[in-house]
Amino acid sequence: MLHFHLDARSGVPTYIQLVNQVRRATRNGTLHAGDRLLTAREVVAALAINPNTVLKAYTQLESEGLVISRPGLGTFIAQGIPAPLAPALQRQLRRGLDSWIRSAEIAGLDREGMLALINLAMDEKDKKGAHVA
Amino acid sequence: MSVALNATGLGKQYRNRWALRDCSLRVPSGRITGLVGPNGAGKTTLLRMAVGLIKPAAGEISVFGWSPTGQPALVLARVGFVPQDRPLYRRFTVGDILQLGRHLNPRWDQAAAVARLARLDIGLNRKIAHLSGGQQAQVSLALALGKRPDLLLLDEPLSNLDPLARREFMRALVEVVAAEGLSVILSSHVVAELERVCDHLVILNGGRVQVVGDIDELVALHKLLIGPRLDAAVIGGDATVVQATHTEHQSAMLVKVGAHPVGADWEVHDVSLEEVVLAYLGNPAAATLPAPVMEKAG
Amino acid sequence: MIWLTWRQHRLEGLGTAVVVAVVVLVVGSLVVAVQPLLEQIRHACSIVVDDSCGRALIAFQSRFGMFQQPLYLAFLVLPVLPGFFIGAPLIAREFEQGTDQMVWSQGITRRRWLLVKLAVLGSATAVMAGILALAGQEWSTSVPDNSYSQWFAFDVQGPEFVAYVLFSFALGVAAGAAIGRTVPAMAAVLVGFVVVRTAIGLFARPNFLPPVESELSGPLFSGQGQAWMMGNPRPADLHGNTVGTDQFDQVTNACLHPLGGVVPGNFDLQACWHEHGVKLLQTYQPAERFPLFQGIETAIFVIAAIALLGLAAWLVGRRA
Repeated sequence: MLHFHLDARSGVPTYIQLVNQVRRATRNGTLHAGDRLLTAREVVAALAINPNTVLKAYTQLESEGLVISRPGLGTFIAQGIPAPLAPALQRQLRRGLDSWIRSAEIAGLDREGMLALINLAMDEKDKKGAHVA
Repeated sequence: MSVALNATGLGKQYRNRWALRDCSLRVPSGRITGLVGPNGAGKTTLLRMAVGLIKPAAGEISVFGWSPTGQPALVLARVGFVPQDRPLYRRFTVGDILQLGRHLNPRWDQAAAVARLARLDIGLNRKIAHLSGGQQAQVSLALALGKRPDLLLLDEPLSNLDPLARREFMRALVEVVAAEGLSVILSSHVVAELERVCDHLVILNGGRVQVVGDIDELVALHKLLIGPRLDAAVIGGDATVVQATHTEHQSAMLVKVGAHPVGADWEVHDVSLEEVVLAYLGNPAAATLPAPVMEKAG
Repeated sequence: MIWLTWRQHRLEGLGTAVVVAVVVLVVGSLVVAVQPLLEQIRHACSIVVDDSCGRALIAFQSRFGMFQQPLYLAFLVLPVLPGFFIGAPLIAREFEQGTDQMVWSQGITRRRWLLVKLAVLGSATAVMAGILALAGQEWSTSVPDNSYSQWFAFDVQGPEFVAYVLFSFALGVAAGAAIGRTVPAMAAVLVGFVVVRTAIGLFARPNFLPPVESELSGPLFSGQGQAWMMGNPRPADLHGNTVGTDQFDQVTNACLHPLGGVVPGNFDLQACWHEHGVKLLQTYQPAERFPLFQGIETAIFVIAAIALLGLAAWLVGRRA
């Protein structure tokens, strides 16, 4: 069961944070296909946030095909979520990543600096994504 | 859109000051709407008018289509109110307060009210005066919710509450909204309190409505543009400037974006809800209101 | 709403009941205690043959005289209390603590709220006042006849006493509604009640109807039964023109001198005056006007109470 948390200061809209947390959980194996998400009421009670926000997040997840909602039963992780990366794809991505890490080291960034830059880029991309949604 | 509260041209005068002046707005049902504005902006006056405690000197207000002063029985049966400072009879017990609600309201759900307070560990035979501020707030909320209203109005419900009590109050509020789907309007002059819990916003400034809109949309539609110092605002595109600040070398404009993009020499930054609210409050002439809609309310 | 009225004011109700019970107990004990001596006085004073009447009266005064004044004062003060403790806080406290916002946003209009509160508390107060008025009446008739005038008991009994109480209550409610704060409203009740009661009692009441001036009948000026004597008797000639007191005293001496100091009970001093061409005129309100005067004073205070309650209702409505 995935428990949500909220970073009120990040500037990222609440519903997007919820969506991201579900996405990450499916990627890193915390959630598997068929797992049930907390009901909207449970999330509201846990985080003290607006119910419409939770519904918005779940609706977005459903439109992305990540979850399926069954009236009366709950919201479940959909079958056929992306499998872990194929080895060939992983190698390709690693090559690009290793080269970027070398550039970042030359520019003077340490590990924390690189992770911070990555988070910043992801956050900005998510905020832009909110406008499109 | 179903309308919970509809106000047109509301006005109210106290001595020589207008608490509300030509105030018009529509609050949608099924949402938690935040009512924000500086002290003395007219938030309390508006809420009291909605529940029929005050008669407008000018204009009209209706709640679910009924007039609070013209049809008080109908309105009071559907509208719950938690007044400023959450007043209660201090010599009463918690159980007495519920009895008060039961005797004075045509519709009353005693079991639900008792269950709610039991979940919060608030005993029915405790005197109000012996409860903590947070517990008293929960009793006020339980009283207002006991008649199973369709609209709940709260006037600065979190004032004088410690952070934990504030969180617990909000939690209780959103839980009942999730369960019952009632509409809520709550006022505050602290934006951060509202942001977590509201999805709709009204900015009242100087007795007038300055902004009405969905919170996510408002945040998305406003940007901070930073660029070299300009004496005239030449932004390009069709953005409207809400607030402009100039330093020696730099101008910063908080704008509402239009359909077309702004000029390329501006840095575009996102803004928080608090920044949007502060910008409007600081510039009473600016306004963002929904376009007139050709539809019947209700 | 009746439940709420009881629950909010049960302490005051209990307090009022206790006060009334205490007064009834005190008056009751006094009435019981004086009966033997009263019998004695009635017996000894019906035909005055020796000084037993006088001695019995003195005994009464020395045994029970100390209670009369304080009890009288208590009855004068009691009507202020409902205005002070029940009327003044009724609306003022709600405004002060902001609970009006809470209670008038339940499913009840402020008109109904006020109506039920006034009806319940007003009737309860009236009943308590009625009990006190009966106690006052019992007490005031438990004194020797010739020191009793129904007019002395005007302020402590009868429908007018109930009217004083209702007026005080209404004054408190109106002051609370107008001022919006409990303590100043209490002060207003105190001052207002004292001023109005004194003004009516001292200045209006003697003139409800023009007083009568005539000779008192009866050989020893025992008065017109239970008339309300006003001012001193006026010596006059037979046409009604005032004569000097010296002249009148001379005539009286001339009439009494031949008797040598002992005046028989059937001596007609008045006939002697007439022979000398003088008479004694007294201004008074006749005994039979007593119920009428009670009615007038009752009406004044009841109408004032109704007007004040109307004012309070208007002020409460205007608060919107």
